Amino acid sequence: MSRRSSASSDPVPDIYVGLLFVAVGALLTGIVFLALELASYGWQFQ
Amino acid sequence: MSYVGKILVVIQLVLSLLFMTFAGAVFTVHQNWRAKHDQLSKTLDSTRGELNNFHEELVNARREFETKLAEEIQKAGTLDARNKTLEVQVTQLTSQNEQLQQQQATQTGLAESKAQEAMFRQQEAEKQRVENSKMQTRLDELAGENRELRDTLFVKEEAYRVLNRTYESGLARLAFLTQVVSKAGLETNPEVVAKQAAPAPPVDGLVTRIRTNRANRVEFVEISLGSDDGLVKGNEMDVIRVIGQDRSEWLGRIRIVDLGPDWAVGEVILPSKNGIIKGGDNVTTKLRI
Repeated sequence: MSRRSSASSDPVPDIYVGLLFVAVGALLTGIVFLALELASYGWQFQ
Repeated sequence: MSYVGKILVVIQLVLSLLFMTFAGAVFTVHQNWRAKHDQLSKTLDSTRGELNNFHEELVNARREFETKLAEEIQKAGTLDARNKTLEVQVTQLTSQNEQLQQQQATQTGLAESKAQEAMFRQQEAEKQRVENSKMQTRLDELAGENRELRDTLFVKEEAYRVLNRTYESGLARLAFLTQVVSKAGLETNPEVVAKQAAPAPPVDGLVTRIRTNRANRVEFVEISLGSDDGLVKGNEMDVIRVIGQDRSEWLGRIRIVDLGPDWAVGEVILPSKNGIIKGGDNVTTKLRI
């Protein structure tokens, strides 16, 4: 178990946090693409 | 952050990027099947309409075709009958053609023979032409000879006329001389004269009658031979009398002075001193003393 920092309450963001944001952006982009695809079929699944 | 958390973050990042990539690829390369479906539905409707039109046209065309087919069948029947007629005609024409070919062959043979005959006749005509020219030359020569012969004939006719006049004068002279000789009592027939010059034929006869003169000597005797036996005036015969088998007597010699076909009269020119001629004695020309 990691030890809590006592000097500052907010952790410092590192590269991994940036990577997580990039992953969030990629997910959002993919969702947009899929939404546009469903929009072309009028949101009908059958 | 622990080491596992870091790995998970990286994995999440990779998976997120893959998700974004696949979603972009799907969005980029996808086709709108619905729009296509609508388009194809419209195309299908129009195609069905065209198909219905085509079907109606097909029905109409089928009706027309059936009508035409019936007409064509009727025409086919007519043409079939005509075809049969034409086949019969073809058969007849074939037979006629064969006959004509035979006639052609025959005529060809005749024409060849006629051609050969014509060639031979041509050759013969050429030969005849040569012969004709030769004969023409010969005819000219003969015409010249004929003219010469006509001239000769004219000369000969003149000579003949001269000779004829000479002959007629000769005949007149001969008639005159014959008359003179006849008046002189000589024979004028050349055949009789020739027979008189020739010896008498070997004949035997009998004395039929006798005539005596004033001195009662036998002057003329008539015998049973005449001109039919070959005697002529002037022939001399001996008068004999057969006495026995092996003996005869000479009575004299006579000369024929007149005769007929079966009789003759002889003048006694050499009487015998021992015998007197009587009827029934024999006369002969076979004796030559």
